[in-house]
Amino acid sequence: MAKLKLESFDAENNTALLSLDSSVYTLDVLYGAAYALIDRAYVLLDKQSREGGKGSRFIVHLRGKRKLNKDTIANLSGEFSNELLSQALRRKVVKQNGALIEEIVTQAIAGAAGAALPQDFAEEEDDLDFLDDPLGIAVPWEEKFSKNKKES
Amino acid sequence: MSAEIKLRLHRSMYMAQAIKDAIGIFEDFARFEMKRQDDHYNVDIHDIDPEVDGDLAGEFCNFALAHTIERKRKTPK
Amino acid sequence: MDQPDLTALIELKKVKAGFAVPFNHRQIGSDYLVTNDLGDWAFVTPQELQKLVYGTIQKEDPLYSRLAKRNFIAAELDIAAQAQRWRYKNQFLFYGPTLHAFVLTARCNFGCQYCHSSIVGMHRTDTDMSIEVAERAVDMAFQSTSPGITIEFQGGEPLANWDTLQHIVEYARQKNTLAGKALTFSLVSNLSLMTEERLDYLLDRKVQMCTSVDGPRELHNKHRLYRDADGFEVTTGWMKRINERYIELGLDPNLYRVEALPTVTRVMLERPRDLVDTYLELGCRAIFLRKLDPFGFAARTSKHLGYSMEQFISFYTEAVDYIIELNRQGVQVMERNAAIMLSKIIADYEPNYLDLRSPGGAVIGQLGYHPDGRIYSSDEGRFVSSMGDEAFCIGSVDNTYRELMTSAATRALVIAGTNLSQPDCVSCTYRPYCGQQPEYNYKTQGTINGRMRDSTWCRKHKYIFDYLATKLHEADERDLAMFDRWTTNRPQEHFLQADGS
Repeated sequence: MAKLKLESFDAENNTALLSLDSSVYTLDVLYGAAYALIDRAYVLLDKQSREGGKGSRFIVHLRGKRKLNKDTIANLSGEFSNELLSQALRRKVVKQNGALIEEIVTQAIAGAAGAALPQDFAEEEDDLDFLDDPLGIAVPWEEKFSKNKKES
Repeated sequence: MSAEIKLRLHRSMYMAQAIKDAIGIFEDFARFEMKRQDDHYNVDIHDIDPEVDGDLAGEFCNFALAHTIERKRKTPK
Repeated sequence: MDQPDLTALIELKKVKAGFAVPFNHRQIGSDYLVTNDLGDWAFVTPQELQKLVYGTIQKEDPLYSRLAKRNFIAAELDIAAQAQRWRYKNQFLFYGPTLHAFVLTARCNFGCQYCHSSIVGMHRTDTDMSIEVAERAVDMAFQSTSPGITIEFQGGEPLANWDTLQHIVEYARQKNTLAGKALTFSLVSNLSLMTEERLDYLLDRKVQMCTSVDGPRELHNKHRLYRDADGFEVTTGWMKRINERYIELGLDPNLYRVEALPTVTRVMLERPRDLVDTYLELGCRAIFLRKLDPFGFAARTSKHLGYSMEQFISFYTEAVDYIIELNRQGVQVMERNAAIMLSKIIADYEPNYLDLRSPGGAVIGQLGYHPDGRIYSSDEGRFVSSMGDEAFCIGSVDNTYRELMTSAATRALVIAGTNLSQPDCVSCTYRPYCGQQPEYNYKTQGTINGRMRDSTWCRKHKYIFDYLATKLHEADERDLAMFDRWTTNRPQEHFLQADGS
């Protein structure tokens, strides 16, 4: 079963239960789509193994923040289904164009941020004692060398 | 006393720390018990403050989910 | 419209990879519009499209030189020249935010039914931006790596916090004596608190002035409630006065006028021509047809003011058809969306309109400063905040500039605002000219990425692009001359603060 399925709708409790095969979309995709609903519904995700241990299903419990009816739950689950596909596609597209996107985004942020200024590090510097040598760069190489030799 | 609400959060889908964060946020309004059982974390919610206006369990779930997503994004794979 | 059968036209096994540069296509009339990543475009017949993808255009064929000139033939591409062109068109990638929107106060004396901001009564001076916050916000704005910055005064009604406005102007001008940026100020106001004395100051300090006019008097007053007087009269009265003063200053009235913006509401849908006529009567030469957006009061009042995107599209078509008709009669007037899009298409010019660029303008193109010092990704980010959601608050004046620019939130917004990361956008013919707004996606579809396939943002822009492409396809010499006029970029240099002094 590839498609998202509306398993049940309980109008009295304002809840619905959706399911989909966990092999269709990754958990990241499910997270992304579920996140898009949390302004309108309370969402609880679960996972069930299929009988016989072959594969599993994602279960999505929804409780509407407002009163749900057959139409609104159909809209909500339709939107969720679209969002699943969109999230999956987007991940694919981002992967395909990853190098170019990274270049553009890095340039845009570097262009906006500009070169780092001394005051940007002022806080960190305050925390450092200038006599501290956390990287060991003040240690004479002879010392380092002899220490390494001893260890080896 | 029996639990008022029982939630089962799948361990492959929710991070324990995110659930603990959620408990920390909502513990002023109810008493929470979290136990690990098989594939799930079982969260029992007791003594919900009668003054609470809204769906505490629902808000708890959304919070735990959102925090799991945020934590997973921050945690290198 | 006849739909050429693409599958009958093109057999995948006959496609010659590498003959054409990567391009997208879209049917316009009975032909196809093709665009490449550089923003070049051409109309081709179905047969010409077939020859392009099969790589069977002979060098002596006029189609070859036509498409080579527009950079569609890979072998003819001058890579160095095109790289330079790409850099020029994308120069915004090398600079930080240019637009700095200062909300001077939440107070307002107008009650606009669709207002985006979270406004309060005029007695609430506690919502004013203090001098201290203002100075720190100006300090932040000046740290932008952009060689030019615009400080835009917004509200509420920004004239209600006159002292802070004046202080910002003086403080920024003073700072600019050292910074030497191309500094401009702009004021977005209902003008009701304007006085001759204030106007003298604003003109002297070259503060550009913009306002809102929602069509004919009765519509304007219906939506923009003002208790003290006839709001339409007050606003348009000051518009006329300011325009007179520009002329007295010797400024070209074709270039220097008070800019006005309408917000299209449901009742206006029936009267596109009246809206255009009102603007012409007020001496405006440009109209920006903006759909009611999903933020602030607009979201809350959408039940009685709102309408569907299809209704807006129909309104837009009628209004711009009328504008084109007027131009053919010799009246010079343009629609801003169309002018921005055409600038990108026919003038090969990037106007840096923040909503239609990729990556979008959130954070790296603009910042919104709340009166209490909080900083938002944009105006729209601030509108989301006025609805109780701080998703787009990226920090405050207490942060360093670098912290704002390099935060995880900024990075997420930049990625979300990049067309190449959107499934529909990557294969869209209008991608080189388009952009999107993560804040709009978030508000309408729940995520900053959105889903362009069922996004009203995409529908609106795709429609306007289609409309313009159709007009370009059908255009005669006279129409092309009109579009050229719309895309002629004449900078308003008067508003630049001279040498920072």
